[in-house]
Amino acid sequence: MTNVPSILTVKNLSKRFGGIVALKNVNFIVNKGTITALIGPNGAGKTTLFNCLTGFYCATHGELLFQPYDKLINIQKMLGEPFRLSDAINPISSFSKLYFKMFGGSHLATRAGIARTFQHIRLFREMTVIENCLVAQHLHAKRNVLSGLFNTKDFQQSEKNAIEYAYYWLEKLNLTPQANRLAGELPYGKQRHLEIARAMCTKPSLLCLDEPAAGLNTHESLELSELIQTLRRENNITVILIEHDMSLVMKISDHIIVLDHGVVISEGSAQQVRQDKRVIEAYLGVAHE
Amino acid sequence: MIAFIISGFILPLLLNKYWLTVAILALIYILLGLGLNIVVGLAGLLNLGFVAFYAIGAYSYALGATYFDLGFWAALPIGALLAGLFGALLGFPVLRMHGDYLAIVTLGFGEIIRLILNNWSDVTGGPNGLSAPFATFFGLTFSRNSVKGHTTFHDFFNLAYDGKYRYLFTYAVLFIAVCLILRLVTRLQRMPLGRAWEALREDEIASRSLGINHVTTKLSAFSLGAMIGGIAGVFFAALEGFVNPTSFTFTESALILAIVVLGGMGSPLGVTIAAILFTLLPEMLRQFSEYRMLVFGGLMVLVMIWRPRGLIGMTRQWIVREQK
Repeated sequence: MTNVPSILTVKNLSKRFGGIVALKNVNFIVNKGTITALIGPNGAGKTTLFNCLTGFYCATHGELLFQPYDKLINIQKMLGEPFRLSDAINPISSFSKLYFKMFGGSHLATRAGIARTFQHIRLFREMTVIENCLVAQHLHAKRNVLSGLFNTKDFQQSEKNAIEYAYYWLEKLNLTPQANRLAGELPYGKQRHLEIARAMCTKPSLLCLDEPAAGLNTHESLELSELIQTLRRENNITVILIEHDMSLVMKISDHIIVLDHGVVISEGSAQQVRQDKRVIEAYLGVAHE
Repeated sequence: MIAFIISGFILPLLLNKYWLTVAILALIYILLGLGLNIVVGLAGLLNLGFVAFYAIGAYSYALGATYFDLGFWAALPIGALLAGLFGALLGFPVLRMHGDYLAIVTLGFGEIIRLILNNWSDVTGGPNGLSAPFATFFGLTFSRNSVKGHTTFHDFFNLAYDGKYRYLFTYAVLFIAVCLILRLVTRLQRMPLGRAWEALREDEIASRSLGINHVTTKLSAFSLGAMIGGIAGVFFAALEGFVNPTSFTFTESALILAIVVLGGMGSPLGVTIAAILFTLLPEMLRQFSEYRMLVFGGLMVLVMIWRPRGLIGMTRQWIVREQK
């Protein structure tokens, strides 16, 4: 494991909402091809961290470096950093800041290769299952309006590929029979699956799952843990997940990060974390009774 | 489909001048409905000031003709572009707004445009309005006598003068425009852009997490809808030969919105049918004289009870995997 390069580096990350410090000097590294779990009590800042990662929040301090391939991507920069006095004498930096202020945002994080699901399911309920997956391929589709209007060969090919790719993921998640049903009509467990399929359709290298097992029964959560491991094994995806189901977390994660009150109180393998006094005190306690 | 197009072309030949004007008006409302359908039905941005774009289209023709001698054909793209530009201008500040707040801002925008047209008398002629020339057939005018050396249509083709020609011609051009835009709208729903609009309507945060740039996507919906409204405006000015601000009140916006909602949000066919109903019914109910708006309103309520999702709901595309 020593030579595995890191895909994500979080350095001194802080996020404040007015007077409330949601994250304080968070540091960690996620290695490529691993499954990392973020655990901690409610309100510890796990989802805030996710939102910073995926570009929904702009962190107050610190750096988020994402390196899916050789190129290093600074997520903070894409969200539009605040202007500083020094920008007045540096036109290039102020211009790039202005550009990202106007056109930057979370969609650039997706473009860089970070996909996510949500704690509370957010599907396009009035669209069909397959359309949900097609929307997710927006960045890879041929978006030229004219070629779409005239339905050119290129466009047809690109649509065909998109449909094929969508079906590939639907099949993986056992959703093929429901492909043309409205997403809102699906049972809860299927909706959770669709969210993952949809996220995978963006062709990410890092997948962030926010409580993927919430509301699933034992059987379904077992299926989920197998699925996550398959994703990592077959599709070379790095996974970060937030989860309260400790049996799931302990079983599949290579690395566990424990947050409490916005601070990383412990990190390491499942074994290490389980025995950490502070973790037991802050979070696991009940499980030990 | 072909039958629809052929009947669309044959129909005006059977109508008298009065019903022909009604048919043209119906087509204009179809255009307006389709334009607003993009904004409200697909992108889910409630717009209560859509009439502003209609006004911008109509006035860009009238003003252009008055000050720059602009012809009808040049006015079509210019009116569309101007309306689209205003759509984008309005779109930028209201990007962060949703639902009720957006509705109020767009309502205000519609009123601002109307008040400017009403009060900037030096340029727009204020409440007296402006005249707009009728459409021409490749430079041939449809007037009884030729003016300023323009050849008239009936002289050129050696026909007897008939006031109907002008309406027939406007109808034909408008019908082609409606067909093209119907095609555009149905295609859009099967394209990444249209899907992105619908995704934004369903869930903005989820669409952002999937790499959709919500800023440009919303702006494109706003300005494309506005462009279609602008085109409708140019046709309206060319039909009436005269524009004034009373044609562009809030009632008109509400009527267009009613067309979209009643027809079925997101369904081009539904919107088309609703637009035809909305122009024909008041005319057909004329025999009830003062009660006709009451009857009309009652019918609308009935339709909404009978079909709460509009006459024709949005149908989803059935997508199958290609067999290998």
